[in-house]
Amino acid sequence: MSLFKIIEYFKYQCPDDNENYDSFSLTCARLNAENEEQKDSVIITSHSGFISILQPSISDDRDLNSQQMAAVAIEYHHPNVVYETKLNQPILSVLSGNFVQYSTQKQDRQNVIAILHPNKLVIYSLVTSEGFAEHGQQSKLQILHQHELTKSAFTMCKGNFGGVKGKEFICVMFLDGSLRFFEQDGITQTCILPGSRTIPSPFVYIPRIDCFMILAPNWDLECYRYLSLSEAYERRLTPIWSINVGEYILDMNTHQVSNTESVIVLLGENNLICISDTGKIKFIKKLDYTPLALCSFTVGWFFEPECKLMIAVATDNGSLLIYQNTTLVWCAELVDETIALKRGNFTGISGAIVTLNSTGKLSIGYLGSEPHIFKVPPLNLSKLDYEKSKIELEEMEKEINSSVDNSDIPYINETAEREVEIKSRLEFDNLNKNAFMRLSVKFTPHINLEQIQLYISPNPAFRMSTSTFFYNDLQAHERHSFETEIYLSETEVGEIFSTVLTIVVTFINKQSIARVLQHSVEVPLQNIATVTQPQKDDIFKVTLSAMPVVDIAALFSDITLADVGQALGIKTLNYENTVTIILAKNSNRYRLQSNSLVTLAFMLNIIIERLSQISTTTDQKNNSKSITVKSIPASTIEYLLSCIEKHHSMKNEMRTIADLLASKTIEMRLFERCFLVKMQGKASAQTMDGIEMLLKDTYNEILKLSSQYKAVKANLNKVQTQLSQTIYFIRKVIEYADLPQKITENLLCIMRPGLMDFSEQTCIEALAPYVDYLYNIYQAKGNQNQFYDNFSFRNDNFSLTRFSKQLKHVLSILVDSSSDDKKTMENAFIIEENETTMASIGESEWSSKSTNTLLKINEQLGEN
Amino acid sequence: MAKVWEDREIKFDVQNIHKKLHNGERVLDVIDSVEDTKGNAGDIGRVIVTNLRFMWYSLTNPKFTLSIGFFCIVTMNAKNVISRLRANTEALYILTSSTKQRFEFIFTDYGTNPAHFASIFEIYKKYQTTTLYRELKLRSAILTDGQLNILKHEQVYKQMSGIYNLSSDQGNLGVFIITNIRLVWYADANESFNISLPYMQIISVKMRESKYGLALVIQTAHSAGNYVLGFRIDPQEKMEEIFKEISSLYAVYSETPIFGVDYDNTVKEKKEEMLRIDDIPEIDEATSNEINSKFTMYLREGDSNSRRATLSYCKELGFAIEKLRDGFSIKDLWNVMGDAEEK
Repeated sequence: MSLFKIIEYFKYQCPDDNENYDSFSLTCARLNAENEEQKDSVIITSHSGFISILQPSISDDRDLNSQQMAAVAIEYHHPNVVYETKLNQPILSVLSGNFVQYSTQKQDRQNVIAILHPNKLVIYSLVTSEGFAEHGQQSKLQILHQHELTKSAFTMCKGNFGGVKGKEFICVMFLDGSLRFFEQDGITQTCILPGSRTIPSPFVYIPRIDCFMILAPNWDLECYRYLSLSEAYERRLTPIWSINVGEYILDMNTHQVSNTESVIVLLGENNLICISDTGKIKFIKKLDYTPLALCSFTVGWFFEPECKLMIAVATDNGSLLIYQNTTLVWCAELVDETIALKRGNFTGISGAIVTLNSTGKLSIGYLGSEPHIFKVPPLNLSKLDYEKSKIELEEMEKEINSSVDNSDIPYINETAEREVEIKSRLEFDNLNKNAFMRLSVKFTPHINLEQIQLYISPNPAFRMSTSTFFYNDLQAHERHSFETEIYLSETEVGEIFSTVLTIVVTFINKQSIARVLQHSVEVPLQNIATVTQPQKDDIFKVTLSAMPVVDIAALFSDITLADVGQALGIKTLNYENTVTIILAKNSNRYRLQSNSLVTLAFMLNIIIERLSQISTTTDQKNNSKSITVKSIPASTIEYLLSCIEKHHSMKNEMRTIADLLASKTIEMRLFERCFLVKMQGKASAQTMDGIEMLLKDTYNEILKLSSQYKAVKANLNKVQTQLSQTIYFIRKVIEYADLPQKITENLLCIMRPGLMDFSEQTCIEALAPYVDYLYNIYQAKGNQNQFYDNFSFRNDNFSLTRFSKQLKHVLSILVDSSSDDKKTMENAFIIEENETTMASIGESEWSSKSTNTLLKINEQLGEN
Repeated sequence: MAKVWEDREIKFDVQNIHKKLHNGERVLDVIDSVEDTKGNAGDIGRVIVTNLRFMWYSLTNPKFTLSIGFFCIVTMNAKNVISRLRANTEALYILTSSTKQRFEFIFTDYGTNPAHFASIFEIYKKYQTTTLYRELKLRSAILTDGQLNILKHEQVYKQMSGIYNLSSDQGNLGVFIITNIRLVWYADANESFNISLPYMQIISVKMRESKYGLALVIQTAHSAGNYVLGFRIDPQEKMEEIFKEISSLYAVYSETPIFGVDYDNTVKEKKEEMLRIDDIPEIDEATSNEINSKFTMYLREGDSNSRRATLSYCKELGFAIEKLRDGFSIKDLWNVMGDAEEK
């Protein structure tokens, strides 16, 4: 890579854009030899038969700088095409020269174009007539001579063979290595070179010694006299000298450099070779790149002492190297890959570099003398004014706040529901193996949507084959549908506790406004539960009283067929956990019992739902609660506490592992860095040993810790699910317990479903201040002053034992206990009547960092 | 017709540039997760390739966009690079030149498509080889054995002989062809004396009095040399008829230009109807920069127009060279290590 570039000022794409070009396809020549003013034309031919003759010129206006000139040239290159056509045969080579005899007419005294087809040599003259404007100029190729060839041609060269003055002849080399000379008066001669000539190569004529330089297949460069070649029939042909060049020659040129010497410049595949016409090697330059094209010339006349031989080589890595003899005098980056290289003189530019790439793009340029080191011009940026930005930010925030109106939300939600219509269906037939059911959802957006995402929210009992569906760019009223197979979970925590599948739909419309919808699907009970024998002595029990009492058979009309007495067992499909329902008709009570709390909660929920449905239809006047949960055994609370304890200890364990993992990774990174430093320093194997050991050990430890972490996390997940399931059950109990409204609300605040652990704080820790608050109210036993005097939120660390104790106390109201206790509890809650209710506190502040928020709320309470 | 600037200009940071296409311009390929490494490093954006240009826009900040017309591209290469995000990937180097400045762009592919930028090369190649659709051609090889080489999507509406081209003293008799893409005229006597003029390069078509009588006069656009082409068609009624036909075809073309770049990416474009959730890139706004000062980054070199570069012939090298600064010689620039060569 060079710092310097070749600056392109003219480019032209030939009509044939395939790889149909080689170094014989390009020539630069003055077509009108008489007219000194006229500059070079560029002739490009392609193997598919296209010929393009261009006369590049750029504006002579010296006021333009190079780039403007370049732009001008690139924008309007039409007039530069003098002639372009497709000949009927492939073109192998093109030359321009004085190939026809002078006639007396002046317009004929111009160089003509020789075109070599595989079996024909045609000599054309270009006839141009001018019009009014540039677009009125027209040219024609006139055939002057044509010679049919009997063999397949390879290439040709020109020269004043035999030292004739003012004339040029053509010599064609055939694929079999034989030559044929074409002189102007129609005389042609053929000659066959000695030996087998299997590889034809470029060849040149040296006017000084009237000889041809031809490369033999054994890589000998042979020098033959023209005289002996043209009279070959007389005697056996022998080269006057030969020299081995050792490789194939890509291109060959010859130049007379002094009165007594011509040189032959050969571009080999690996070497640049210069040989004098007397058969002596002048120099061989080994090339450390792959050369592609050669252009050599002399600066100054050979009879001048300062005549210099210049060689330009185009390489495959896009450089142009210019040598003066063997010395590299310049290097520049080419615009494009180059397969043919020539030098031309055009209007406004002499010594231009003409290059052709393999797909027919001609480019003419010159050497740039400004080193192109990338430099970014300095920037004129004022520093950020923080004061100003702050004001701006505030104004924007104000604007945002004023434009958002929360009162619109119900209306927005309603619109959203209208915008996307969702229908879902559950199927239990024709399922895949092991699948439990199939959920098929059809939805129709009624407006154009950018994106829609449908997500079936997790229910541990059901596993979905796919739970997220995502569509892009939806048209209005276009129907979409998808299906997902649902399997029953077989993990430890996958007990069914809800029959509802919720589909959360998020969509973004074309105005980039996002909306969220919920759609729920209920799984019929008969599909997930069956009737079984009632059982006795289960761990978890719950007693329910209802007005009016409904027969069990009527309650479960959808699943029971046989006649049922006062007791019924129902078991869920995947775990076979049985819930026994016993009806005590006299006391209007139901008793539900099960060994699984989750299943118990599930059935409780169902019974309550069904009972309330019946009671609302039959007895609408009765506003008081018709269903109440009488009591739950203390074991439930114990179970909850044990879950909390497990959760807490696991969370702690996880934290310890995470901390350890963090410190180990830091070590690892350090060791790796050390290792790398040593590697680069090429330290001996011994010094590496220690670090390698350290690396290995640390790596193993990290691996071990990560798998531990994973295991604990999985366990934690299970416990979390258990915990939330228990809480869900207790919530249900609280909801239907015979408690004053206020207490129900407060307790529900504590027992919220949907537990979320943050890395800094677990859900239980977040719950602690609420429980603490409730507990203290309880302790105050209705004495308002005492409560405010003594109570303050703790800022100390979370203590599980304290929390458990407090929670147990608070929840004891649910347990079948003495009415006395209940009384005090009820009294306790009276304290905060007329105050902000715990319920509202809980609702709004649940997820935030609880302690601080509660402190604030307490202040508010105090103010009130 | 509305000037087609899309392929001839480079535009920086025009918001929503990718949302407005020229008539007849079509999106041929979209490549996701591409970083504009030179100007907006760290920003992941999307590349849209149309039949006229290459566009990039940042997904993190809609302010940062680029539109590079294919006409401005000097060279385009892809290089294998090793990135921190995706060990082995491809970077696209685009060198451009417009009337004012030269820019270099580097785009790095962070996407998962193993083809990387291959489609861009194909499309650009198609663009390069379809100049007949968009540019005026004089004296070029548009005929084979007296028959016009018909382009893809081209329909010949009318072919008439005996039409004079009034570009030289005596006028030249030739054949005039009207297609849905261009007007073609070629001389009876010399096929290579021809004009292929796409409607895209026509400014106006008129009937006007000339020294040869009433003539059909077509004015070409600045980018097609600002020529005034005159044709004489006899009799006058026929000329009026042709004038009408050309005018209406020109109007139709203005609405629905055909730029000729056809690229079929159906093989690749087996677009799944439903995306996976993993396909949605997460947007990390933490690194987005508010002020885009990177325009200058694209500058290929210190293109100071203040210094007038003139051409001169360099005797030492034998080639044309940009004139050196005063007080410098070729040796000063080349022999950085001192005059070791001379001793």
